[in-house]
Amino acid sequence: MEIANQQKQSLPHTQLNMSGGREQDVLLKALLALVFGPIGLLFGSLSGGFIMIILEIIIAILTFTFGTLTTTFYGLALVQLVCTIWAIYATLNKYKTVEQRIKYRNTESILYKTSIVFLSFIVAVPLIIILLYIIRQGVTQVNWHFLTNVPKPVGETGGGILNALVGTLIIVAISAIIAIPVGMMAGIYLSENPKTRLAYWAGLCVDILQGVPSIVVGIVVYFWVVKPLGTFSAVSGSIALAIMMLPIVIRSTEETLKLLPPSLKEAALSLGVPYHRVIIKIIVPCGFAGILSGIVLSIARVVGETAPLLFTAFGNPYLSASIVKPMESLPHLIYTYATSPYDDWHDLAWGASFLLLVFVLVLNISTKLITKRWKVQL
Amino acid sequence: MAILNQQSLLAVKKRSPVVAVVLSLLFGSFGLFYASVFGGIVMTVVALLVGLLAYAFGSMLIFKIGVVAIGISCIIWSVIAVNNSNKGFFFAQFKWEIVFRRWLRILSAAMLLLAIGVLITLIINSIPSIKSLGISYLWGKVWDPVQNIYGAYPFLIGTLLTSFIALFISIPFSFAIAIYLGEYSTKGWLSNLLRNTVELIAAVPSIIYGFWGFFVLVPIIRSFEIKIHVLPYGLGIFASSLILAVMVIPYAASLGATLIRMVPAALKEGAYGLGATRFEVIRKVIMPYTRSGLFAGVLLSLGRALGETMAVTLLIGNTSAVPHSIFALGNTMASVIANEFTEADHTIYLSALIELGLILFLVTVVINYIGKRIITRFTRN
Repeated sequence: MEIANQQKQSLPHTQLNMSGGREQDVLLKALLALVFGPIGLLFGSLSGGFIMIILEIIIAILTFTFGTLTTTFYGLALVQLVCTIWAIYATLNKYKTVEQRIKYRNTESILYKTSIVFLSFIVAVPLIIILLYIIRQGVTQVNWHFLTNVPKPVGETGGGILNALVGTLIIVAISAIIAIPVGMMAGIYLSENPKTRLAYWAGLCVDILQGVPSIVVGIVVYFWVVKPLGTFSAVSGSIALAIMMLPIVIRSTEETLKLLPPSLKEAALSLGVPYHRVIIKIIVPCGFAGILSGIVLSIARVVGETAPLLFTAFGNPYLSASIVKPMESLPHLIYTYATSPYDDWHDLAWGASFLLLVFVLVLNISTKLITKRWKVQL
Repeated sequence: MAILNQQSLLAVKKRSPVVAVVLSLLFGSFGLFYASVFGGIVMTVVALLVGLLAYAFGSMLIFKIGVVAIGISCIIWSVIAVNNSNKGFFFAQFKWEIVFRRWLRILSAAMLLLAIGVLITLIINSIPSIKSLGISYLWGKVWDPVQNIYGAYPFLIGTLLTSFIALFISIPFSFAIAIYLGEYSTKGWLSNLLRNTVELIAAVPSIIYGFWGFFVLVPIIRSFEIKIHVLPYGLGIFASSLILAVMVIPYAASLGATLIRMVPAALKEGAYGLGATRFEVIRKVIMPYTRSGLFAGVLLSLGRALGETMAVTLLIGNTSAVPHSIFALGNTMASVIANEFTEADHTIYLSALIELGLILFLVTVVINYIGKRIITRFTRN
């Protein structure tokens, strides 16, 4: 109690000392905020300055888009006024008592949390708008006719996207057949021998492959497969997609298997089980959920890839099941039809986008369910 | 291994390397059965596959190359197999275990080959352009394939502008998400909802972003441009930056959230114990501690933004001129490749495009590598 009393007594004293520059300080900060707005406010209150800069940008954009120049002027004047008041308030706060300053700091903390929550949840807005728009445009297109017909030539109404649907399934299936065994084996090696030099370099290369832009993968596969064979082909598209799937499969396999306790493997080995049977019968089944969700995730990632298919699978307006001929795929169909000038084709593309979106969503949700069902961490 | 050697030395009769070579030379994969049964089976299957491929493509070239390659590998295999079986290794007593281990190693080494192969393919195919255009290709301002003039400057500027504007817009949001998920609310349905939203943003294919932007965002931007009296294209650097900004948010956000969650509780508790508010803990403890990690997240976002193709191709307007404002039309490296690769009709044109791809590859690899290094160093501490 005595200490508290002493503090209380000493406070007016310190305040007296500081109050010499108080009026000047307040006046300076207020002037700065009045003239320079949010930037001037930065000198009075740093966080306030940042908040007001963001607010000013939002107001400027909104009034520009939906109002006239006058509303913009009034909006910005209002911001300037708020800035000045904030600057005076913040500067006065510096000269407040302990209790008042604690209150100020708490308010600051709450304001900060509010802006963080606001900024992080506003991200959902564009996503929801996009999803709703695609669903609204696409769901009316999808019917039996749409799913079982190939596109009609320009000028004829109707037509569907059967060729792209079949093509996407074939291309993605082949790429999964290539990428899953290779990726799992490489992932097993990386998790089993983490300390070797090969594992270090292979891990580095997996990181590099993960960062390669998809269009570059397209170029490279063009020279590896399309040029030697002399024709665009579905199988080249599959190889390009497989290259994009590999890093995800490898990393998820590696991360999952690293989490397994070494005692599992040691117990099996001590019973005389050969190494490959230990891996196939014990290690892989134990980490099955993690590996599976990695695989599903990688399929979800590549099913919507367009760039690698531009120079490999290329696209084909007719239904084709031959893997050595050009083949249409959903994302490629969306690209070609979106850039076409015909409304019929735009409608087809909206329908295809909706289907693609449903594919991706289903694959992502199944990844979630797999991880939840078997309680694995990715 | 020693025991195995002795056993097989006892068990297996010596085979003549000369007979093995002659047999595989004459009968190919069937002759290989003398030296190694496993080798014979493998090579027969390979030969069948090559034959099937050659038949499917109707290409004599594949057939000829295949026959020569299979012949040579049969001879090499037979020599090695005979040699090994005489020494008592591997092929004499066939061990699945060793084969399995070997395949694990081979497939990891394949990743090495794949990455190096990508680099070498890009370099080899861009040699014509490097030779004839030289280093001045990078700051040549004119790109005119008809006149055979190639300069990458407009695309470099276009890529940098779109990526950095996108990054600039996305950073407040991705950091806010990182702080919210990492510090304010690590569990609970609300943060789960946000986490799923962020994952969903990353999952939506880029072509769908582009398509939506082309039909919804572009008209909005066009009316905005009319208001501020610039040429109302709608398309352009600004439109693609906006869409890119949405697309790259998840990368910095999810990484940042993970790293912020790793800040030691003792540090935060110490600050709280000294009477700091939550805001002050975030500003003075969490931010300085995770600064390098957050930077790495931004780098990963940047890598994504640089290489993003389809959304940008649809929205940027595809004009090979140096953009003069953020509302101008332009082209990025990725979008010019996507647009012109299949039309490139002469060597220099094609290889100039591939050189763009090479630059893009190198830049993204370096950025990703630095990002990953920062993350590994951060998580190790």
